[in-house]
Amino acid sequence: MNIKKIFSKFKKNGIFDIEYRQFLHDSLDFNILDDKINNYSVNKLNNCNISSIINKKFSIINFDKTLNNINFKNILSALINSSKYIDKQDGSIYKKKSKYKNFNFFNKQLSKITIKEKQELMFKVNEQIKKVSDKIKRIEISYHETSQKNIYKNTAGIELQQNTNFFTINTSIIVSKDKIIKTNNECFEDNDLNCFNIEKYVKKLCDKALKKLNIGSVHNGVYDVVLSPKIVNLITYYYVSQLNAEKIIKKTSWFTNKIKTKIANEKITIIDKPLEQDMNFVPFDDQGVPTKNKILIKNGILKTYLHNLTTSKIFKVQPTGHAYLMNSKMSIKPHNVYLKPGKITIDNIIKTIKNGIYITELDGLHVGINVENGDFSLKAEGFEIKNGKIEKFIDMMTITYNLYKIFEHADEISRNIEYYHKKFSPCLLLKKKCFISCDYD
Amino acid sequence: MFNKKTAKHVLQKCLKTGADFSEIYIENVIYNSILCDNEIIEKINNHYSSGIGIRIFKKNISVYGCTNNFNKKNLDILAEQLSNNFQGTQNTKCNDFIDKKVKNIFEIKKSYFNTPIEEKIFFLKNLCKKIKNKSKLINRVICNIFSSKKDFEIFNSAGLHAYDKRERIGISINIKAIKSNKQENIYDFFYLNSMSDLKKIDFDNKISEMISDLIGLLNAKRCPSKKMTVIIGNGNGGTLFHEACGHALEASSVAYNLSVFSNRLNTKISSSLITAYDDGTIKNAWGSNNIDDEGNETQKICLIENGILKNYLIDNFNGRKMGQFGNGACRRQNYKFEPTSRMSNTFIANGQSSLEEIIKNTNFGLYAKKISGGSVDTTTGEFEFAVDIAYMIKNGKICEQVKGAMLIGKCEEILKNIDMVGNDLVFSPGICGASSGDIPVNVGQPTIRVKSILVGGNKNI
Repeated sequence: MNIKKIFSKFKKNGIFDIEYRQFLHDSLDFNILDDKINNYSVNKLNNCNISSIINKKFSIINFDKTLNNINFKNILSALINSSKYIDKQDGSIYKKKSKYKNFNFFNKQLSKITIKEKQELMFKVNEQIKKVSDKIKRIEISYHETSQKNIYKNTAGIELQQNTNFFTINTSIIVSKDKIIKTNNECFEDNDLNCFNIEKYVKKLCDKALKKLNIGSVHNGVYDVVLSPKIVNLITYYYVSQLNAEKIIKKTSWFTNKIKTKIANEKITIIDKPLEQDMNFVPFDDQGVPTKNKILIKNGILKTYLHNLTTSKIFKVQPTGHAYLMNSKMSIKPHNVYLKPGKITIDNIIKTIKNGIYITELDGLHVGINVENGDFSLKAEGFEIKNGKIEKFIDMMTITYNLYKIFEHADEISRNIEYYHKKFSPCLLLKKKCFISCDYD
Repeated sequence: MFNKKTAKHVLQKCLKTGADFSEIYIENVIYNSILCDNEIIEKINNHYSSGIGIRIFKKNISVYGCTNNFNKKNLDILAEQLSNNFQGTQNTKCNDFIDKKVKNIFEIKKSYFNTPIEEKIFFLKNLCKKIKNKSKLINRVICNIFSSKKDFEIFNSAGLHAYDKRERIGISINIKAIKSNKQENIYDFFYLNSMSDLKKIDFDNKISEMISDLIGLLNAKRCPSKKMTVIIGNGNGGTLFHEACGHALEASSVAYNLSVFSNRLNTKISSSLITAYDDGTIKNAWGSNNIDDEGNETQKICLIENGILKNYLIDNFNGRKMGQFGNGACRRQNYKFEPTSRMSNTFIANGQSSLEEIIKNTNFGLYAKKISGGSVDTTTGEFEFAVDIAYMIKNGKICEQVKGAMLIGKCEEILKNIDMVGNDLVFSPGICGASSGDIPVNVGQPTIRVKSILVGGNKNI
């Protein structure tokens, strides 16, 4: 059954606001371990959901099936039944004729390269890694490729489609020296295999892994801490996630009642860029609202919360294109957030530090950050900074500070550094603020 | 039920290029959940899912594919695509199917799906109200009830045909409180087999305990950071054993020598006080199954006996690499995931000491009453766990509540450092996420004491 027929059947039953979302997903995975193809898998999935607004109530039904295999009467009764019991009367669908940026991060050539050729390329990576050092004891290379089509249609005539394909190469290696065993992994994502530079990738992976074998230790105490670009990007996302207007309405966000106020220091400008023409490109949100690049925090001043259709009506502002359907609930999330870089180079920041830590990994963020008040205590790894130079690797340490204070009290923000293929972020310096404790103390 | 003729046809096709084993997994799932936020029903979720997973082995190589298109032609294409990974001619035939007798260990007196929605909504709203009325500091209560009903079939080329169904009900409670601009929240999770079991859960008592801990958090200071003795509470404290040890005993890492416990059978890996099991056969338990996702009966597996490593958790595929058979521990979230060795109800057996004795014998340390979650690198054994509810112990007494503690260590060191094991074993349900998806598991342990763990928190005291 085609969706237009379904829409007209709903209309005949007195239901006029319907949304349809379809996700076609094909993926390929293989993995090389100990010089052999270890496993291989392919997924071919076609999922969809239909949501309705009945008496201003949003209800939804999800299927791991195509429309051809779905009985209309069952959909209708499930949606009507749910709407009877849902109390929340704040649902609506997007009806405004809008302009959408047209760009598909889709490379037809990727699917034309044979699986054998892709496997041969990964074996080349494997061989290159083996040549680097006899301290490398195990190599596991995982290749993942996804091709997906997201479709959004609603009864107000909005019909949108986005095609994406990309591959991910993720290599994990085990290095050892004497009794020390360490692991390291490096990831690369794109949709053009020509952009994959084996030498550069292998060097980055192995250099970091081998540096981990030169372990040092620090005493417990308060240190100058430099957060690496990867960590800055990660914590900026956590920080901005709390701008969710639903949390503001429910008064469970730290940013409640802080719009147009100073919430961070002047060095902090954070931008959401869903329209960057890379694999993070998102032209419309899960309610069909067009997205736009937007400054969220400018020189420390909070400019906007993140809205879906419901919250934008409550706040009497335009929707910001941040609707996100999570577990069948229309929620909100940021897209592609960036902290604006500063002017100082990272080398000049490091040079000023006598005794500090350069943090390269943080583990346990999903459980270790209290987003309500920002407090965190997380397992970390990184490098000791001594007299302006990066020295030994430090692991099994914890870093204790506060998410919101990082942005309030950041001492320096460096120029951008590429920390991941085509992903840029600055480093951030926190002078004598973070408490570090170490297993070796 | 899936057509046996089609199953045999697809399995044969999978063996055309020399594979020695093929398997089809067919699944139909209905999922429903109801979310109540501050006594308002915000969401009712219905999800209908059906799909097929095809797996083929040739010696120690496995290929896997899944689809939700049941069309015979599509299944043929998938089987061909998968079998093309091997080069050779057919040398294994698909045997005639023998229906497996499956012993049912679940008693469902009243199914979630046969319970009127009004009853579930009344329960949720009532629960929210009861919690909200307990303290003026509570500003948000989110209660969620959910259930999934799964029917699945397994056919394999060795002639197995197994059919089983599973139904589980979960209830989560999340409470948020605010005091002088300080916000904290607390979460707990309960499971039932049958809606008639709702009466068996003492919600009044559980809620009072949650609120007392939550209000304690509002007033708590940050946990000091240093290496110290840590007493890990019973029940949910078993998360640490599950993550830091259990995952490293799964064949998915052991078979590849990627686990700190690879090649360590019959050697001492922990304190002699530790005996631990994984038992998928416990009647009506959250982590149990009648059969695993390869069609093998679940088992009670002794993992560690008095500190000696006795067994691993093995699935059929990784068992090939280890020269062993699967022991009923192969699991997957759904057809989209290739199944592998996973835990079920994993627990440390009771010891001799009472909680009082353990506390009394601790001069200074942390009582980690409730752990929220964490992760482990099974190769190095390094882990981190956040502690939700914790108290300082001074001079053999439980003292002030502290917050923000993070436990960090290496699993083997921690296992060897356990110097007291309590006699108060309790199970706690949860969801475990790993390569074959999110699955329901029970963690369990009596109170245990670890001589020394690095505790991340605030500045030293």
